[in-house]
Amino acid sequence: MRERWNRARLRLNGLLTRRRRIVLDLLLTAAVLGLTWAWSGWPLPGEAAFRRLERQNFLSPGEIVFHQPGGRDFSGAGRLAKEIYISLGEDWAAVGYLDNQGDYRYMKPVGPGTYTMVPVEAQWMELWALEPGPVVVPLLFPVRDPEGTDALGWGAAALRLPAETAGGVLRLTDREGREHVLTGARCEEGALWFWEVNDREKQYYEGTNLYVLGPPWMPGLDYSLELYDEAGEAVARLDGTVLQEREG
Amino acid sequence: MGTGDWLDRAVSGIRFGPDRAAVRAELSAHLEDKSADLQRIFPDIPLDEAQDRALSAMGDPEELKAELARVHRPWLGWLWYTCRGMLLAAAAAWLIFAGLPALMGGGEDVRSYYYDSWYRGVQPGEWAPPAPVEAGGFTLEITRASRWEETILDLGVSEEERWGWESASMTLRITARLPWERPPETVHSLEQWMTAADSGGRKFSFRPDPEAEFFSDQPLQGTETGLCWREYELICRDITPGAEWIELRYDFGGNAFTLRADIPERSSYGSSRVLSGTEEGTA
Repeated sequence: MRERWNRARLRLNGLLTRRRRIVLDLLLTAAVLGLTWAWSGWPLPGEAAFRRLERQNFLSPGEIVFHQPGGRDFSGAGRLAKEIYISLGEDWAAVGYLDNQGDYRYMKPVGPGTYTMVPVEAQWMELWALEPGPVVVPLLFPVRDPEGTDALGWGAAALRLPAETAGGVLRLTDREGREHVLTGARCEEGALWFWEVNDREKQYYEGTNLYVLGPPWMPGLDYSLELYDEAGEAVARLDGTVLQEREG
Repeated sequence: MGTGDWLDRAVSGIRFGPDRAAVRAELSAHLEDKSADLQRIFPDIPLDEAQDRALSAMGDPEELKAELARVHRPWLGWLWYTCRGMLLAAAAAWLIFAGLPALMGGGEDVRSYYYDSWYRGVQPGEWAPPAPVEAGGFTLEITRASRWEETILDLGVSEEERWGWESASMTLRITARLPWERPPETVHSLEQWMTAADSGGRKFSFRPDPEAEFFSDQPLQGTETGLCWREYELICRDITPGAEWIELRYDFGGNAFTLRADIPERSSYGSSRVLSGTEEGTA
């Protein structure tokens, strides 16, 4: 029996030369990695995932004007903050919320002022139809503190601004009458983003205790936006309404 | 020179350690065979002498060393080991990212509870699918359609006073060209920008209904998937009684399509809903 086994092993060794073993190992490695990729839902990194979301929403690639990295840790703000991209087309803006940390379901507010929370997928895209001119798009998922601390908040991006814009101040009054004054940080040319911290609160939803933020309060609010250039000189003053999901 | 020293010197030119050990073992076995042969042919010869003769028959270890070093190139051995390491790492990655989550039941079944009932009884020939359309590199087609009757059962009123309506459901299949381009469970562009109208002029939206009690009440639900495709159940509640068709319309970001599906004349599914919110389906 042992001799037969040794003979079979020798025959196999004769067939499987070292070069053939290397090729076989490489093929097996590629097959296992491919299976792992497929089994994990074909994840792609950052911008490639965003571009795929654009395609899956029947869009041609837009110009990326905003990118906020997501959290890399698995607790606190890093667990909750998604990576956010915004791209602009001729008459549309696509806001992609990406999470490659697994099939974790987030709670997303629906509708202006309705604040009902629904579970959404790990990767999500909001599409906005745009009128000509500057626009303020709300970010409907919590954004991490620009300093990278363990703080989350709600944000908005002002897009299609004059090219010389280096900063700005966004003033809005929320539905409870409180005034908010947010300072904008420059993203790409003609784009600013605004952020305000929001404390997390625990809510009971569908039998599970989940940490969620208070609802995003910006959609549908009237705003006043003052823009400045590098020297701090006023560029423009704009008034308008933060975009909100249309009803019905 | 002892056998051990001779073997060490002969293999010392092989730089790939595992090969060096294997060749040394092979040469040692060869020497043992040779001395055993000598002892078989000359039974009076002592073991030490047989080993010495076998060793001298093997030749100069320095010459053998140079020949073995030429044949056994180290890079091929290290490449083989690297490939084996990669294979092990890939297997570990599969276990961590795919195998274990699957074992732990990470996957969620989003298939609609009423999926099979809606289309039960739709006869072949009773309904023909519309031609597929292309949008943004995807193929969209309606693969099934049905008409149902829904009734509200308010137990406090008589049978004549109970009310109901007709609804239609359709299965929209979106097929990608590549498996990793398969649409996600929720296609927000469809939820937000696709509308429908029936032949009687009633209009429908597919935006999520935050008030819906059940997942199956949502007007658009991602259900079945294949390698390159995903199916979505579209529900239009309270269609025009007797409506003949429903047309899906989409126009956003430079892509537009319309898909018109006939609705089978006969209801294939009946659903009754008690006012308290519990639901019961009957075919």
